[in-house]
Amino acid sequence: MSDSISLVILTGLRADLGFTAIKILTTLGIPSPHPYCSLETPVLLWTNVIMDTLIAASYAIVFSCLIWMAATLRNVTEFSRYLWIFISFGLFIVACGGTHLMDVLNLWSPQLGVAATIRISCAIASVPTAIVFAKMTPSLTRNISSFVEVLATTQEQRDAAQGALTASEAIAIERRKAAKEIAVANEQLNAVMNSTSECILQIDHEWAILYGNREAISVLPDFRLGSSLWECFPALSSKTVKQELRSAMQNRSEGSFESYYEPSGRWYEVHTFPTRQGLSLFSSDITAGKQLEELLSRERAIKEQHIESMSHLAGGLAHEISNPLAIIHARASDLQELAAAQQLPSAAKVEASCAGIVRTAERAIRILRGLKGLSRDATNDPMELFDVGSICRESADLQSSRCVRHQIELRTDLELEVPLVFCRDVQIGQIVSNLLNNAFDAIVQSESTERWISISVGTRESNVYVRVVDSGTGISQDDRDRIMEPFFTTKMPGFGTGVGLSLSRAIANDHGGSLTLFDGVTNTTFELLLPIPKSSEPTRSSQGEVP
Amino acid sequence: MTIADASIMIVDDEPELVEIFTAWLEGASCKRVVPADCGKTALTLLGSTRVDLLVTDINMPGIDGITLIRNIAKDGVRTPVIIVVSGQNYNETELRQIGVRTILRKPVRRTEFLAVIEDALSIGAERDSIGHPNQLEQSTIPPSA
Repeated sequence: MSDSISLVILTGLRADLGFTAIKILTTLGIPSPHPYCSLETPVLLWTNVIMDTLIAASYAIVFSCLIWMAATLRNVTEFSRYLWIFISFGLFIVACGGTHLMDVLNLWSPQLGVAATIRISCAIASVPTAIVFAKMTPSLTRNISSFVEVLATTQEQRDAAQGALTASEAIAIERRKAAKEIAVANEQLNAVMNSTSECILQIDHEWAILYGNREAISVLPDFRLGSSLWECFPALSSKTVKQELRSAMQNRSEGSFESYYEPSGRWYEVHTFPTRQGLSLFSSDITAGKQLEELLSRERAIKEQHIESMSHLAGGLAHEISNPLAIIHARASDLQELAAAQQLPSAAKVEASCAGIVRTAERAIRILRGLKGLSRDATNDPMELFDVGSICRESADLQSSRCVRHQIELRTDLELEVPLVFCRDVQIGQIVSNLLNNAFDAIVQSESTERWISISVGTRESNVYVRVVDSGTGISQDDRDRIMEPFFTTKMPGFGTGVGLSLSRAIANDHGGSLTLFDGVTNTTFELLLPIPKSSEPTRSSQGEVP
Repeated sequence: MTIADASIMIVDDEPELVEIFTAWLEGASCKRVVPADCGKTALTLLGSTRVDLLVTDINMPGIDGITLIRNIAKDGVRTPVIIVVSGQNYNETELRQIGVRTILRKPVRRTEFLAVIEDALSIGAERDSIGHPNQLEQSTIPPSA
């Protein structure tokens, strides 16, 4: 069967094959087409059969589409008024299809009545269809135009919307990219900020903390973003720091200052940089440098004090040595002149003159010995048994000339014999000289008419004491609390470095003794205590009482 | 006036020097030497004792040589003065201004000391009055070799 149909299709348009096809149909039991209708020409016959069948099938499809459209769009307002065009046109088309189908059937089995009926139906359908079409075509045309315009506008809007959407997406993409880059840059910046040993803070104009690097957070335990700098770190609220920061904020200027941060006990060098938001602070730990600086400063101060002591002594030395020399010179020149004149003096006179020379020379030697002791570092001298009274006497001798020149009475009470103590005599002499120097400076600076210094030795409990008292103006309670601190001084500029008492106390402590300032006494009184060795028996002692 | 006739005051806080100067003056026949161990003693003695020449040390406890001279001038006493100095711890201009006639530097020999004394005494007390420095013939005795 299928083979036969294929054969018909392949040979339909060839006359010689047309007959073959008719024969095949006959073989299959299908009657031969009407001879009239076949026109005796198989090609025309088959052409009509195929074309009519094709037209009928096409009309059926068109009808189905129209009916489907009508059913689908019947609820659309703009379309409902044209619904009958589709229905009438559909009926017309299907009727047309029917006439073509009947043309094919009539070739084999003429049904002319049915064909006529269908043709009438077609004619009937065509008339209202034509009328409806004719009537509604203008309106339909307008609507279609409008519809097309609407469609075009909608399309433009859609295109525009699509364009806008595309632009928005592009911006969003760019933003995401930028945000990512910013995040990477921030990460790198944070890595750099956190790898430095400097504390970095950023604060706004209201002193709120905007940023702090890792070092800042570790150094400042109360660090909180957004909090006030002063509230988070009250230790920064010192007058100096506050002034510096306020000045930097107001003047919008770069600057730097040094600051001691008490909670950590460290020194910082703070650099300020104005920013749009407020201030950036970069602070680096300079404690090591400060300590070195302080050490150097201390050494310098000690040297300066040494020079100062030397200059004090130098003034007195000229007079102190010149008097003995003048005596020696006078006595020796007397003897020389008598001998030159052949007027030999008596043995008693020569003995008296020579005794005076020897005594005075010994005095000069004692002065020079004391001076030598003051000018050297005796830290490594061995501890030996010494008479503190003698040490004090030598120190007092050195001061006596200076005191005389400034009308200061030097009262010495050093005759009492006290037990020998283990000490470095040079260092004890330095302490006593320092106390006498201080007393001297205090009196010279005062306006008081009372001008005296007293030095005495004695024993108290198991110690030998040396007391130095002066008629100076005394020391205020505030100064008393700090007077033994290094670099603290109550002296006028040029008079002292402030190291003397702290060093003296250190030396006294090193000897197992002490150096104290008496409280509640009228005149300034310093007492040096040195322990008496247990095996040492006092040759003669008096129990000293606190004045 | 000669040394023998003069009353000479020696003021020094160094007792041995006072002793030496006194011995030198007495050896030169000076019958009246008035020793004083400080400025305060000197002022007290000057109030009750006639003194023709004052020899004073410059550095002394309490009232020093310069203050002593100023006080004498203030009291209107017109005694000539020799001041004894050591080293360079003095201001010569200041000493001249207060009427010091002679500056004697330590150390000093007996002969030089007596020569200066004689020289000072040879000029009349009127001309050597303290407080009128411009009338004085100024001289300085250099230290002896």
